[in-house]
Amino acid sequence: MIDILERRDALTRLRRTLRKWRPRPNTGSLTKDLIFLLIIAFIQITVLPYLFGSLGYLDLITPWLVITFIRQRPLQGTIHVIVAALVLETRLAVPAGLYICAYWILANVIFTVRPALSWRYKTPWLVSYATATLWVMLFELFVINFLQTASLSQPVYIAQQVVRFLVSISFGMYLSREWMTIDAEEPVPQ
Amino acid sequence: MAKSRARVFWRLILVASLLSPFVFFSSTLRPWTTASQFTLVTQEILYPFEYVWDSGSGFVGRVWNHYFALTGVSKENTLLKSDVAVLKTKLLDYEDKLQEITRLRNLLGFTQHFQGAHLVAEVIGARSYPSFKTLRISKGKRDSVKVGMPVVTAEGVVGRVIRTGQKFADVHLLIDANFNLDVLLQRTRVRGVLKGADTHCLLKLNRRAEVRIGDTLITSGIVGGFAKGLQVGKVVRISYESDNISQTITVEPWTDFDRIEEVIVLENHDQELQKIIETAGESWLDKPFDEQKGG
Repeated sequence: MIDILERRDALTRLRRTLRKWRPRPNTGSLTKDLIFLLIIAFIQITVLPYLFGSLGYLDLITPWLVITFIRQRPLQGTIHVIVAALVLETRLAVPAGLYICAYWILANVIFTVRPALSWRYKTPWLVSYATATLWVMLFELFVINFLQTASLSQPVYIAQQVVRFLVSISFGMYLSREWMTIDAEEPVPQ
Repeated sequence: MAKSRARVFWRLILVASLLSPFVFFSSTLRPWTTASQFTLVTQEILYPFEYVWDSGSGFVGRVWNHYFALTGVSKENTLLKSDVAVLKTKLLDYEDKLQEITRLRNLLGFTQHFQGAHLVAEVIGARSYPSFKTLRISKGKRDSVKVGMPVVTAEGVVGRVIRTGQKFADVHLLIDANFNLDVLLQRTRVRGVLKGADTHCLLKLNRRAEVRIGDTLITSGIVGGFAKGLQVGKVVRISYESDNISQTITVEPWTDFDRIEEVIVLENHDQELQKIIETAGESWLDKPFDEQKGG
């Protein structure tokens, strides 16, 4: 009966399809998740630096992955780690394995601690994003220092890192807003 | 029982992941190369989108600049006309000099340092991360671009091809910290190895080597596939080390890496390197230096 009452005009169908394909982490389908991850990587690597110049080197992939690590099973999380790391590593001149290493550690730490936290509150999400972004930034920084690359004390470099840190946290908080209500379903797979 | 097994498994995974940085830092710390073709799958998928984005944004920019942002064009036109008149006079002078140089070269039996084929490629996605510098160009394996080929512009050296896709190639830039280039000081012919350092390059020389601010550096042509005499950069700073043995020269590249639109890929790539790749396979590039020597 309810099925008959449902609207089926073209506009409603279009709206439904758009809602279905709205880019978000954790859609329930691994293929769709990976497609969205590639879109986010494309935006991070190609679009943002074009639009915002030297302040456009932002990190959208890390918060995206943090949600995946919290919401999904370890196998799916690990597949995301490999794809995200390979996209970054094969686009940049970073040493092979840098992001695989950083993201894999991050994934395993989150898999270990996630059942102990309640994800209906803002604080665990905020701390997760901040720690994850900081970890990836520090790991990169250590490698740069190890290879004696860029002069790290340059004001532009510091500004880039501060903007990157703040944008990552904000982007993560925006993405995970649907799980931060007191009546939300506990997002960790049990 | 099953629960305790799972717990042990997770502990092992966690320990393995915590040990992974040690494995990573004991590796060669070199970027991915074409040898591992599987790793480039994501780039092959993303490249068409990147190309469309770059072409699309370029088109929008051109339309804006050519049809809308035309303030001051008339003033600029008058200035340009006077510049053209001056340049025409200069051009005549240069043509005379060019003929003179050609005559002298023929006389001395001087062969042009670069005779090999080359191809011009568009830069796609010139923006790389602040600390790891690469460029993506629109020519790849289909156009016979190979790993190790030198890349230059009219101003000077840009870098070297580091990996190739079907329709694109990534260029390792001169200013990247992992990039080394054998160079000569044009005036004094002192040789050294130039190393990238973010926005500039560094060259360590013996303190006795005579260097002046403004000296030009050129490629030595000995190793790395670059023909001899390609312009690299100019000396902008000299600092003496406390050991009283060496001096560090800061070099500003002639190429403006933020403004490159087209590059030239030289096909006279490192012949020795190509021979090795043909014999040992592209995976040879991934091996650590000690193993390469041994192998």
